[in-house]
Amino acid sequence: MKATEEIMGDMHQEPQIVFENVVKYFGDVAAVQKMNLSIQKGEFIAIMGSSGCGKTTTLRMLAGMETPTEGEIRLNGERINELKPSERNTPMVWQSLALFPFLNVIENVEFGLKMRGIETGERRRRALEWLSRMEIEEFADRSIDQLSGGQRQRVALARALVTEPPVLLLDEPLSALDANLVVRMQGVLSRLQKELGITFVYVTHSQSEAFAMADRVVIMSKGVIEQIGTPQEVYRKPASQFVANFVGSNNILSGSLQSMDGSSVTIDTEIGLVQANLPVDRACLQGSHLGLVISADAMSLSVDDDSSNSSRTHINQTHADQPSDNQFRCRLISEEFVGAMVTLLVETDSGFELRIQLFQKELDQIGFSESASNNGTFLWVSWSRESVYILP
Amino acid sequence: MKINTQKKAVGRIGSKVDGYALTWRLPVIFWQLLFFVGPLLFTIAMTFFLVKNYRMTEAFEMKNWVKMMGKGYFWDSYFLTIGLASLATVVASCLAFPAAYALAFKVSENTRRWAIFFLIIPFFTSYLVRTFSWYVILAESGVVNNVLGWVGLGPYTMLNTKFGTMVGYMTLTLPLVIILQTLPIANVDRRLVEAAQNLGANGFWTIVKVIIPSARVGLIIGAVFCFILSFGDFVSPYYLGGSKPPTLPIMIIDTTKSGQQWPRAAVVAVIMMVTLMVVAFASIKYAYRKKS
Repeated sequence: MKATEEIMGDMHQEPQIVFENVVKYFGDVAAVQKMNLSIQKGEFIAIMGSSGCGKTTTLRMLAGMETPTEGEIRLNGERINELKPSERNTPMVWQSLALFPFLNVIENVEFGLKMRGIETGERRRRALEWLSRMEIEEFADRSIDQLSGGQRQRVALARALVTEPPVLLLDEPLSALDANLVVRMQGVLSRLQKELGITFVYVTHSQSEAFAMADRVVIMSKGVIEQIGTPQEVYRKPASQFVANFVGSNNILSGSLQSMDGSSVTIDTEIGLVQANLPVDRACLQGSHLGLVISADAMSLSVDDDSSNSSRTHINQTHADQPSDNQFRCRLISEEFVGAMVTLLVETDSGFELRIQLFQKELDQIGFSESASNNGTFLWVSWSRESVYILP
Repeated sequence: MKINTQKKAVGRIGSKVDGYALTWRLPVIFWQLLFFVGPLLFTIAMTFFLVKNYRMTEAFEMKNWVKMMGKGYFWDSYFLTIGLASLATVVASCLAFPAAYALAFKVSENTRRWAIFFLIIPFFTSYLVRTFSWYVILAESGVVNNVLGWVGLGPYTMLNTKFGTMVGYMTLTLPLVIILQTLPIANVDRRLVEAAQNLGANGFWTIVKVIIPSARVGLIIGAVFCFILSFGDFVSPYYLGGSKPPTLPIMIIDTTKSGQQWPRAAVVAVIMMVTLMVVAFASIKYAYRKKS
């Protein structure tokens, strides 16, 4: 019976993990609402959202720490709603790491094997194998409090992976590490996931972590999935205003359709008339309300050099010689340097704030940092009609 | 102003004794000296005194020590007391653990607070009164034997047995041990419990591998208290255990009553004190031992 079921499952090519209309209530509060999500075997999937969006609850339901109020969760085609946490092989790397302080490093790694009744010699061998794979075998007999943050992270990974699970759950595992180490561990996780070929379900509030590692990103808000897609899709084609906002470094405008010429449209927004292209599959009536997204790195900048009346110096070389579809005079409010990237906050004449992201190099080319970095300086901000994305 | 504060700072560093802190510590130091160190030293001194014509006279002789430690019945009593106290410690710890675990993990915080309050209530009444109430329950014609009689069992002799002693020890220690165990178990990191379950530990292994190791210090402190209280208890072995063979506290009473042998009783007391100190220090050392 079971065998036929498995074959049937194979025939239907059911994804490894399926959430079907899953609802989770805590008392009267809906933590997760009507969730439908399929995760393929070997996928690196990141669930993102701000705190309280239901991402951790989703992960905990997968691990069996919470039981869905409604709906069904299937792992390899089998319903797992009622399985106890200890009856599933869905190890988790916890935000707190939750390493056992009363056990040393190798005993921590052996724990899962011991619970599965694997005998001592085999247990030790497999634990050591994982310790050396994580490059921490020299710490095998150390106690946990003698390790650094990064080493603990590796112990937690080894402990979770030693049982060779089909899926690894990660609950903001890098949030306690400093920035340098986060990037290092991202590399370790990505490589590990590819080598093992197992599914990683990664919960985070950090966009950079999710985008750096995940094949697909799930964005949640208030217990509802807002969008599922590759990082590029989510970034360039947000499915909703929430996603556009959440993904950050986006400028979101809204307005009504004023005129239409084929696919090129003019929209009356907060900052004035904006030229854009309507997607081919999109039909719109004049006056209909539209949401626009212009990502901060799609904008280019030129210094408003009124006094000398010379021609404007464009920063963005690629758009330098073609006339911009959209150009607005703005006043500089603030700038923020993060390494090579600079984020500028400017205000249009109509009082709307726009965010522009540029490389420091590009800014240097027009001598921006020397002459025009005073707050209140006027600048010209422009972008092409192609870079305007119209929200569905 | 500036000079003033500087002067003060110099004064502080200069003198080794901080007058303010000392003032507050003084009462405690005084109290300990007067009521703990003083009597202890006097008890130790007394072990070297002699009793002549039913009167204690100051001396410095090893006679009492030689006499007491040379007696077989003293050592019988010593090991009996250690055995009973150890048994009480094991029984109380085992009986308390499920209760403490349930209070810590299975009930709401409100219920837990009420339960701890009710566990304190027994201390409101005299331990002696509570011990005597066991007479009614454990006697040949008492409540327990009556109930057992209905199903055709008994009567069993429970008073004046080691079972009786044990019941008395539990009366004394169990509420305290439950309280002492509940607090550390309630403080066990729930994230570790979840992590253990996530790694395949069922209920039993979670308790053995995570909850007990996490709460270890508190569990040991509970056990130490039980041992200390049982080891030094006179009431239970005397009234419920029948005083024969005597435990060390009973021996102290007997020794003082027969021929005013206060010095020999002091020998027993000092040996008890040393034993308790060794047990307590060893246990605490074990509780806090470092894992390499």
